[in-house]
Amino acid sequence: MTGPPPPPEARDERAQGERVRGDDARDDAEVVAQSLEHPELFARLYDQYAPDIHRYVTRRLGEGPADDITADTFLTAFRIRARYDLTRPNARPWLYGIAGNLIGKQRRAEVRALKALARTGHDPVAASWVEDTDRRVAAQGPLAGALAALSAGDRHVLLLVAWAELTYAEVSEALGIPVGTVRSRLNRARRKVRSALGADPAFTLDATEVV
Amino acid sequence: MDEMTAVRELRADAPAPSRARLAEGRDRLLRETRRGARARRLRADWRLATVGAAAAITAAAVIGTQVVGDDGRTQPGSQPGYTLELGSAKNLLNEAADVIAARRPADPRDGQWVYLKSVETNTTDDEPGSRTNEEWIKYADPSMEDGRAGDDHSPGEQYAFLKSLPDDPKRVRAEARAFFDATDPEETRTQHEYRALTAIISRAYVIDPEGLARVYRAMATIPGVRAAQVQDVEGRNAIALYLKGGGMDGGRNETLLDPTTYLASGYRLLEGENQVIISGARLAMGLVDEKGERP
Repeated sequence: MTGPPPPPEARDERAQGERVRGDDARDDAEVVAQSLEHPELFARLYDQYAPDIHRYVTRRLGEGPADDITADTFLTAFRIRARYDLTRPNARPWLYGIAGNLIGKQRRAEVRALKALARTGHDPVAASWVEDTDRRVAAQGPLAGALAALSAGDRHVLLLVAWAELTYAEVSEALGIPVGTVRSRLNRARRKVRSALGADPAFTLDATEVV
Repeated sequence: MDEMTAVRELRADAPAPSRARLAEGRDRLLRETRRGARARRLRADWRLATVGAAAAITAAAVIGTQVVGDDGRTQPGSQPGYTLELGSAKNLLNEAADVIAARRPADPRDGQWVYLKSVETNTTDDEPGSRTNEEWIKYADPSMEDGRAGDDHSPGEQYAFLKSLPDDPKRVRAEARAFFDATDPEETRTQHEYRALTAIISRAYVIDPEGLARVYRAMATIPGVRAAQVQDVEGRNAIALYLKGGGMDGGRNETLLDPTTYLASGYRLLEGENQVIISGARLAMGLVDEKGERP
């Protein structure tokens, strides 16, 4: 979360190549498989991934909803674990997929908050963790408006890449859509965001980013 | 700064949760895992956890042609509850066939009526909200038989069709194609077979267990049939079947199955992957002796 993010090309490449997230990730399938016999083991996935899931949901909906959605994500995952694809060593995309479904249920609230931010410069979602939500990012008004206008599917893809830092292949796993669809959705979302930001004179575009 | 950087910066100060914040969710999970330990043998997975009413109908074929208007855009209330992709439906359909084959056979008589109660929301309608519908269909109805109603069939004729089906899935698919004719010249054979088999499943108002099981086994041999766990318009769990790439304009035409009985329990039409345009659920179905009577 610190340091400059890699350019999209590099990220895409990483999606094709190896992606090391630490040794624990390698064991997720094993944990899920063992949890069929020893359900309590499933809590290991919670300990490993709940903080990331919680922060991601916080960013989309605020801290209050993040508490419920994080808990429900793992309850749901636990209940359907018999269907987990054991060839996937990393459960992270699967969990983001489930969380995404739950976030999708509150889509109207999410869009309402983004529109409020676009209109007033005040972010109701960020207000769940900071007092003063104004003057945080120069371009956040038009940006929020653009995010609000995206289709739910495009917004999922964009934010899974930008906020959850999933690779294209992981987004594809999370949402159950082909990688090509991930790419085209992301391109479409970026195009829309770019043109919304382009309308803001305070914002400079980097033309090499066009995919 | 490019647009991805701008997106990454938005709400980038969102805090990581404290342990205390995560504790309640962890407790809920642990309670669930302990409860599961006791009941584990009884319910191998979520499907058995749901006891829904036996349900469902409605013609997948009808929906396929009727919908996907050009401006059938979202209306409030059209949000899907939940969608979880389960991948290939093959194993699930074979399991379903075993469950259905073990049903008690029906014992229909001419002169009886099929009672159906269903509910539907359709975001392309002027009136939002759901509408409930009850209907009585004559079990034996000569005007709906022997091709007099095209490929629409009386419940009696559909029942006779189920009883007549051979074992071989390939032949079942051929029989299904003949029973529900192709109407769309652009439809592939796979799409036609899938449409015909789902129509048979959806209209199996009177069930011959062996015959209907053969239909599910035939469906399991069609490439690209996928399953997802969803909620129907009544908020009940359902298994959604759909043919990959089979919907129009990237949309998706789902046949819903009750997760316990595996019988048809409804249908949904989606635009894209998660915009529910039409969602219908069967609330009750049964044979009665008189029109107006309920089971």
